[in-house]
Amino acid sequence: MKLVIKNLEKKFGTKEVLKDINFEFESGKIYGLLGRNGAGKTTLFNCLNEDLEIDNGSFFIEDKDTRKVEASDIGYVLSTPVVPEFLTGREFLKFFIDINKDKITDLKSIDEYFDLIKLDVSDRDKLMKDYSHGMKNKMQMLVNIIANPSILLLDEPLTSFDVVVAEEMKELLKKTKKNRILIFSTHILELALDLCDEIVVLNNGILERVSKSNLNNAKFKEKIINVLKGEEDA
Amino acid sequence: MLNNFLISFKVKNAYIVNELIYNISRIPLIGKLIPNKFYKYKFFKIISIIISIIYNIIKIFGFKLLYIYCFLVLPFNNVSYFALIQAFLFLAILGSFINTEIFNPTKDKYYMLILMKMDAKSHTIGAFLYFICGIFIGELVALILLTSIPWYYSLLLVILTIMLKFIAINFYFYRMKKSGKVINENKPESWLLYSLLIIIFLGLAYGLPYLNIIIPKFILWIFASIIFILGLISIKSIITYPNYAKLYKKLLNKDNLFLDNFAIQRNAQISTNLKQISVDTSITSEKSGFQYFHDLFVKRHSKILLKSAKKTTTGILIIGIILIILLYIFPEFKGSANKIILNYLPFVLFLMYFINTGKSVTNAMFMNCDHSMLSYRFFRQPQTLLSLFRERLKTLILLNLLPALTLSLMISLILFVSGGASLITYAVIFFSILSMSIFFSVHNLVLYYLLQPYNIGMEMKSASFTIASLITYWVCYYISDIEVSSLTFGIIMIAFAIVYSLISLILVYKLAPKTFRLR
Repeated sequence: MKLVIKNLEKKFGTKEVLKDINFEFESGKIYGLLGRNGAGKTTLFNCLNEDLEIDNGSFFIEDKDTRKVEASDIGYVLSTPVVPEFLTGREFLKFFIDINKDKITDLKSIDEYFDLIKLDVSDRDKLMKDYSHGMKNKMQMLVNIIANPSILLLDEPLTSFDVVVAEEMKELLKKTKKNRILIFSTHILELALDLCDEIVVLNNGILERVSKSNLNNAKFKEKIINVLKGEEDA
Repeated sequence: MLNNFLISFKVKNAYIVNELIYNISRIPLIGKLIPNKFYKYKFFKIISIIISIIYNIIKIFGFKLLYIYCFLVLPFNNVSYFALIQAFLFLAILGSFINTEIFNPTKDKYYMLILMKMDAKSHTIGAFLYFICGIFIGELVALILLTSIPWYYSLLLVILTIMLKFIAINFYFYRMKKSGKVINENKPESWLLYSLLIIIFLGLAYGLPYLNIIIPKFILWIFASIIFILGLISIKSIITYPNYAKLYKKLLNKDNLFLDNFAIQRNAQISTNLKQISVDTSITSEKSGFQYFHDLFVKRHSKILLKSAKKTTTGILIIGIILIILLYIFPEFKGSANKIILNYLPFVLFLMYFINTGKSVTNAMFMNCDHSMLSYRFFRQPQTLLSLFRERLKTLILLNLLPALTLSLMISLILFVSGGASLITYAVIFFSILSMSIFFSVHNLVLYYLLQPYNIGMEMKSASFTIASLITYWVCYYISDIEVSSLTFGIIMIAFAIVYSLISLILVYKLAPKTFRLR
């Protein structure tokens, strides 16, 4: 399965944030999306999630046939986690499972899902308004994984986690990448190099793959930074 | 110090003009004509400096003239100038504690001392000197121009006013040292004591001259001398006070300031919203899916959802009972009351516009639920949206039925007490009020779903929603003025409510999946 983006464009007023994006994302891989502040990473995610209307171009799923990206194909983990704070973690999961029963393959018990994100037993029945930023982030990631979307967009999801939880989440993402496309935006180059199978850079509205070829990590980092600075083509 | 003062003046002008441009840019339609580059135009800065100078002149002279006119000229007629001096002194004592400048947490101070890290002492002394000069010039001119007090006494009074400010500030320094708490002149520790002191000093200022009690001159001279000496002593403490930076660090917090800063306002809004959620751990629900989700929302927000409906119902009950008792005491008004009810049902529509809780309920729905849930794509799916819409509509109608039923019953009772009407009239009035309630419940929820007025930052920012709300208000107001029998209007209202609700529901089913999203 592939997510194909063709000639995608998005403007805000006169500012062209995404210019003629052409890219193919393949399933089974984690893509590290890098870009400088304001490069348009979140805009790209918002376009793919249809939160924003695109000005031009198209994107679709290419499997045996080509088809439109449906709502159920996409999971989107926001950089600022948002959860219904009037519910407990358990109630949120129950509600989510209730309404997505048909789509969830391999349905587990609520506590098994909590175990997956290592949410403490004592926190599972607390109102989410009392959850920390990291706990909300875990919940948001969990509901996006449960529904089993074929494309998972993650907008800087690990920055609010402490080192231990970040490692756990990295492992979780590695486990979930099978038969899925994970696009992971981050500012942390080391994290992208450690977790991702491919590095793509969004610079001046253009999305391009930075190939590692035979470079060692230090050289590869230097190459990525040069691409981010716009000094060298990939 | 002068340099700091000039910097503050420039910064103040800059943010005033920037706020002005920003606020204009947020006005629907007009805002689109204001490009971002407006902020850099020097023209606006010059205009703002001119406006600022004019404002300061008005503040120094205009406000002081107004103060002396309202507090010293207007209340007294044919009193000796000595009585005025006496009244002025009592007002000055009161004013010195209420308005010290130093203990007033202002936005200017927040910007200069907290955000721009200006030296607290030099900024405070500079601003205070400007404040004192304003009092000296403004009050002196006002006293000489508007009162019969001779100029030399006016001069003395103004100097005493300034000395009183010094004493008040010194007293506050002392209180802070003793209690360890920061003093905010706008938030007294005890409102009771504060109000009592205001009443006492106002009583002394105005009561004594009215009772023809004039304090002997020599006592006033002794009093003035004491103020003068204490004032002079206090100057030193104000100039040498070492803790201005600490004082403002504590005083200039978000609880004491009304800032336009969006992030601060948003955080305050979020914190208020979260407080509305009940922490009662016994709340559960036996339902499933959307009904479960909505049921928990309603149960955990029952306080806020029911608050307005309960208040309105109580108000209607009290007014209704009072009116019925009055009709028993003054039976001559029964005829007029009966006539009013039989001919002014359209006015009830206007009343229902105000008592419907739809807007506050949709506000709670957005702030504590939809704001987060609309980020999830599954929540925006047509099936999901419409299932939840149905649940919400049921709740909203039920919530509003409580005051509507009470109003229907009270109006029917008053109609009965005042002479009665035909059975069909009772039925039409009763059901038309219920239909008005359902109409407004549907209307408010449908507008919320079709024109979702909030942006991601929780600001209500939708021109179309504002226009639709204004049209609703205007139509209700216009209809309330129409003279038509309650029977005819009631029948039309019931029919209209049914047709409107049906059309609105069809529109929601067709359009809400596209319109109900975060902006």
